[in-house]
Amino acid sequence: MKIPRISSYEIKISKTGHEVPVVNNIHLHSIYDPLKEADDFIKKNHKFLQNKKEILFLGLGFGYHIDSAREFLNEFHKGNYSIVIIEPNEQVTQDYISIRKIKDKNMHLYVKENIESLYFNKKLVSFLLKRPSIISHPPSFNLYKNYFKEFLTFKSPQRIGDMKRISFEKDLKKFINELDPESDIDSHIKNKLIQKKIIRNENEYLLLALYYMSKDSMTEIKK
Amino acid sequence: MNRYLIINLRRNGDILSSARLINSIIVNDNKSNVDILAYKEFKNAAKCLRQVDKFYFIDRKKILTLKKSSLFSDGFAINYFHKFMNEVKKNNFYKIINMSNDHVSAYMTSYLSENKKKYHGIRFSKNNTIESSNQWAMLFNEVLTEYQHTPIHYIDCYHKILEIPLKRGVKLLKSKSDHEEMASKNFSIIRKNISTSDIEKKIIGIQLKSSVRKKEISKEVLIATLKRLLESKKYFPVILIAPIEKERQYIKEINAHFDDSLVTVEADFLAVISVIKNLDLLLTPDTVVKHIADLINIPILEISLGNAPFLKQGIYNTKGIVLTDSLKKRIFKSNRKTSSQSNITDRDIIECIDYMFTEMKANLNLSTDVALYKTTQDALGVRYDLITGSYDPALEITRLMSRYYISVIMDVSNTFPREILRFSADSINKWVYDQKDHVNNATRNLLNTLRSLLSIKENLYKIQKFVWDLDKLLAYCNSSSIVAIPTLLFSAGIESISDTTNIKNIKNIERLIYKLKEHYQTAIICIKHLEKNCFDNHIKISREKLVESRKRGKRDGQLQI
Repeated sequence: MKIPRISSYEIKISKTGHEVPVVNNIHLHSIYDPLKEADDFIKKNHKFLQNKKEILFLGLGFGYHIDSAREFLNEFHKGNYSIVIIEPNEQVTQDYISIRKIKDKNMHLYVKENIESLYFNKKLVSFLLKRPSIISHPPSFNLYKNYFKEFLTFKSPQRIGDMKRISFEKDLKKFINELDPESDIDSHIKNKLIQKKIIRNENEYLLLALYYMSKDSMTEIKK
Repeated sequence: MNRYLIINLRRNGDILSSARLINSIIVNDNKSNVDILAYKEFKNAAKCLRQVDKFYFIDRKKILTLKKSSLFSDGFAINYFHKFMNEVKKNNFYKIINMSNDHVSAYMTSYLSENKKKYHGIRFSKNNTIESSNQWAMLFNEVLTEYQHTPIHYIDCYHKILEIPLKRGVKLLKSKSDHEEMASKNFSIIRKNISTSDIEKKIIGIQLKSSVRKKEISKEVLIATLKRLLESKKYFPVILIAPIEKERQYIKEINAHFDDSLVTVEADFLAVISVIKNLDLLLTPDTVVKHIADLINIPILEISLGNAPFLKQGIYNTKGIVLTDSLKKRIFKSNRKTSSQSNITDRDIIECIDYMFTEMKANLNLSTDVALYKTTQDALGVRYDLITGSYDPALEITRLMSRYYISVIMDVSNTFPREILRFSADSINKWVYDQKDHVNNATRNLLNTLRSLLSIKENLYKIQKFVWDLDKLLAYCNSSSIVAIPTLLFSAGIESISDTTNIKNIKNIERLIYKLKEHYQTAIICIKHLEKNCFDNHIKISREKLVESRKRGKRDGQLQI
């Protein structure tokens, strides 16, 4: 999914003296008081910030809403939090970094990334498994609607060939490489392993264990 | 050091129950360390096991999210699982014990034990067929899971699978000293407040909730039981709940019937161990709390309801009794629907509590279709004997004879269960007649199957008849008679045949059929044992009656010649 064509970009100064990026004539923060706007926005989302210490923001802008969130999270979760931001616009991000100069070890930014490669990023996947609260920055979300929608509704390719992007251990990598790259794991297990009379590789036991685990099977084998 | 790994992918109660096996391993092998591999969601229960050296907790929730969510490639699930199992595999385990008996644990066992013969239980072979480490493992997987009224407790079976004797331990579970102190202090206060100068009231702990609704004591019976306990001068109830909102809400509803006067103890796994130690009796359905009380030898009145597998996993210690609906009406398999209505009343429960403290059976007058069992011990381990109540003599005799039969075919020295002789001679004789009929019919089918098998050797096209005869023979797996036991073992043998040539397969089947024939003959021998014992007992009773009547006659002044 391509990011929308950027026809115009400028940085304006708000009434309160804060930088506000304007992309395709859309102000990513309030031109009057971006800090108050950010505080109000985060106050509305307090419930989500209280429930989880892992927060996923869709849209960076110039990060005023992120700052407000960080302040709240620092106090509520006593510094024990993790923020990930997905932002498709590289230019805005570079300006954010150079102008705002924010450094926070609890924050991680993914910029202009291909959606598929995001979901093959081990660190991001680990973060997403913690089921973070997801907060969309409204102006950014509206501006890059298709990009974020694709992110939220992504369906990972399940071809075995696509798994090569994952860094497996040596013996597992060799095993995966020997499988039919056009097949998916479930088909391979159902058509080749379950029917199979010979287990040639010990990793096949693991695939079979995984298959039955995913069927939520706790019942005894005879049943 | 010999490092043992127990794979237990079952739930809280099953994980705690493994404490007995762990203790036996350590006592029998003083150079042993025992590790446990379990699902992370049952970590709290597993961590209560005192004698475990290392824990490996697999995050099943994470794996299932990675595998099932369309967001993520299946490769992540495979990668995580592979990394986890490799970490486990790095330990050079002396023995791997599969205590779960499901597909996942069996494949894990295969992965961890490779070609080595160092596993116990079941695993999958290189031919992807089920492989049992010994006959007991096969019995566990084939018979205990299928036979309607399990003849052996699964803890005893696991000891046999491992070929070690059960060693009773004193401290099987961990507890924290501050919990012990607080529980002791609080219960001392309760005892002081409830007792009078003449009577020391017994504290009855009541486990409120079970993980499965059908296993719970109904609210109406619970409330009625509590009323009776509070009215009695002998007992004082204390409710036990877990620190979860659902249970807090439930006790609130119950307490509303008692003006909020009930004493409730809210405790997590670790704390509840200290609480239970202070009870005189625990009244509980089949729950993890039951297993805890069982392991620390607290007297238990188990109310066995729903699919609760009482015969397979009921209380183990000898200070317990089990109150149940009549076994004839119960279905023990968790995937089958059960009747939701239990006949057990509050009156039954109170009478059983009285019995626990007085052991006066004469006072027991249970409701219709309700029965009470006690735990006893024989050479095979724990056995459940009927104390009183509604029963089907044929079912009870089958239970006890199945146990005896298994000890014979598995070569365990076990005396004949004279407990059977309490049933009437008529019941026994009817049972003998029916069972002989079953065995004879099964034997006829066996011989037909053997004949059609042998005819395949001459003419492969006769295979259809063989399949048909085999099918008829395997139907005995579902029989309620003892003939099901050897037939189930035979069926397992057939399923594990994996030779590639017809000749080898035919030879294997023939061998299995002869083994089955031997087992059917053993069944007849066992039935005849019962027949003889019944006859001898009948003679003995008749003689005793005659002697008694002669004595009475002399006392009455009649001359006896």
